[in-house]
Amino acid sequence: MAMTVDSCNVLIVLTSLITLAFAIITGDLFYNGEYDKMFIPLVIGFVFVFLDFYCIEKRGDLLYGKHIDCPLN
Amino acid sequence: MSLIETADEYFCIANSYFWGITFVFLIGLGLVFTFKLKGLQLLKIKETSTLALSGVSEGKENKRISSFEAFCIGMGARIGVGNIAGVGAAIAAGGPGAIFWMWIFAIIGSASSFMESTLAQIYKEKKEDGHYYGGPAYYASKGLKSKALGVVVALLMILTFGVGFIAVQANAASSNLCNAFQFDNNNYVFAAIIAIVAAILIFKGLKLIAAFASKVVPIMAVAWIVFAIIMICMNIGNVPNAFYMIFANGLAIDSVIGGGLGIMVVNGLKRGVFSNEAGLGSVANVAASADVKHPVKQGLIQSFGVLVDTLLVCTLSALVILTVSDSWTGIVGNLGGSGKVFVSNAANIAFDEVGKIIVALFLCVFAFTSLIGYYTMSESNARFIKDDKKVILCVKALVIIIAFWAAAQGIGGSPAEITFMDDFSDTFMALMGAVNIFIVALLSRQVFAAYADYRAQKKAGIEEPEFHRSVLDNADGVTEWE
Repeated sequence: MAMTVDSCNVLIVLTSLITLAFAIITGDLFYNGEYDKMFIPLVIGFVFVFLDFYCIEKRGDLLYGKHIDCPLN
Repeated sequence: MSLIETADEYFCIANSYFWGITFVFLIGLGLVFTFKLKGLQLLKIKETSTLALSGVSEGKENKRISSFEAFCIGMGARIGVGNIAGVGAAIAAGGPGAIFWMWIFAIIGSASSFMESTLAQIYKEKKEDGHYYGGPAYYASKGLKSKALGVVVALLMILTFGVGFIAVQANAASSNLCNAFQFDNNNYVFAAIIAIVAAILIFKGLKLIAAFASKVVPIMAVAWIVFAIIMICMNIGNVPNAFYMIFANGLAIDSVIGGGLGIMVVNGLKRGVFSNEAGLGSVANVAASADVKHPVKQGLIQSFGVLVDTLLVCTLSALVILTVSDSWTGIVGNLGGSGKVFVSNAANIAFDEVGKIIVALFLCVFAFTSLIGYYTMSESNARFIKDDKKVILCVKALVIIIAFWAAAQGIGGSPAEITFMDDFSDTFMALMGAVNIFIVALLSRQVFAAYADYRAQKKAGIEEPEFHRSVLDNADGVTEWE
């Protein structure tokens, strides 16, 4: 199924909320001093942040009809 | 239990949860920006360093702030207590490996700093006094078209930097002066001096603050580097072992602190962000005030500032501590006490009482320039809420009162109030970081478009690229750059 601006909007909200949920779990483990256990929700949170950003970028590409690359020259 | 103690209990809980959120968003998005920008913070370090140090003579003819002055105000805010006392606290709580993680997060944070500073430049606006103002509140409001969100962000900025950070820095300046020069009621005397000097600078305006920062910051940074190198040279034989401890402990090969990798990473992040402020939105406020021809120029300069702060200044402070002995137990045994006084105690070992006084004076100057930097951020955000002389006067009064109150706590003040100050600023710092970086991600396309334009102009052989808002896909809300 091709992505549209609307589906990107939904996905941005969804991935942001899932990221927030894992971030809160990370904070909870941090509060309880379980520093090593907190890496699991932390890494999952990172994965959803990546997905979140992908949706933000895809939405821009669909809205303006082009992808912006950042060359180093 | 007093009201302050009860409030602190809640701030302590909020602090942990907000830091979890900040960790995921700040580091996750920092990594994303690093990949997207193809590691420009490291691969273009020659260009960013040249840009940062150029333009010393800019802005002399007009009353605007030059690129170099903005870099110096940003560095003034960054180089603070976190670079001396903060490094000691990170090592005490997380072991030498915390420094390794401070480096990693500084490299990641440098990309975030580039993003927020460039965005602040894109959405900056000129006010009645002829200066440019910008920052998270401005780009949130104009870029996401929500004045209400902008006002919330501006209030958060004032609470974080105008109240929390100013209290911590004023207290640190006063505590160190009280420690070095002891006489009756010294905390009130130093509090009054700090408040009066701050008031003079604050009431004289932004241009004087910029001139002050551009003169004092480079001198104090170089002086601290020289002083730290001298102390390190006195124990030069321990330098290889210090680096071994940082890497071996950081990669959990050789653990010296209970709690393992997790506690090192968390302390590296917390103290690293407190020191370099990457992604918190603070330096974006300062970056916006610079009068430059292309927004990316200021982004590149501020991204270099993060690396100078952590990879150079914090590393030197860490080496001062870690070269005191050739073993971890030797270091802790020699330096003793709280991590915040590790550097001071190391100076005491090297130069007796004089060393302690020198470190106290450095800490005082660092804290004071940070305090002034935070005021400029508070003013910028107050102007966003209402550009009115009475509102600005209220912010000036608030900052001076907070500085006096916090400085008056000195070393003899109530421990509950000092802990409350630390927890309050830590909580709002975490909240501000998470909110700001997410707004930056939502507006990241604008930065990437500006960056691609900058690179295209550079590739075409243009020495000083110039920006026009037509480069952006959506220039709504961009009022400058015509």
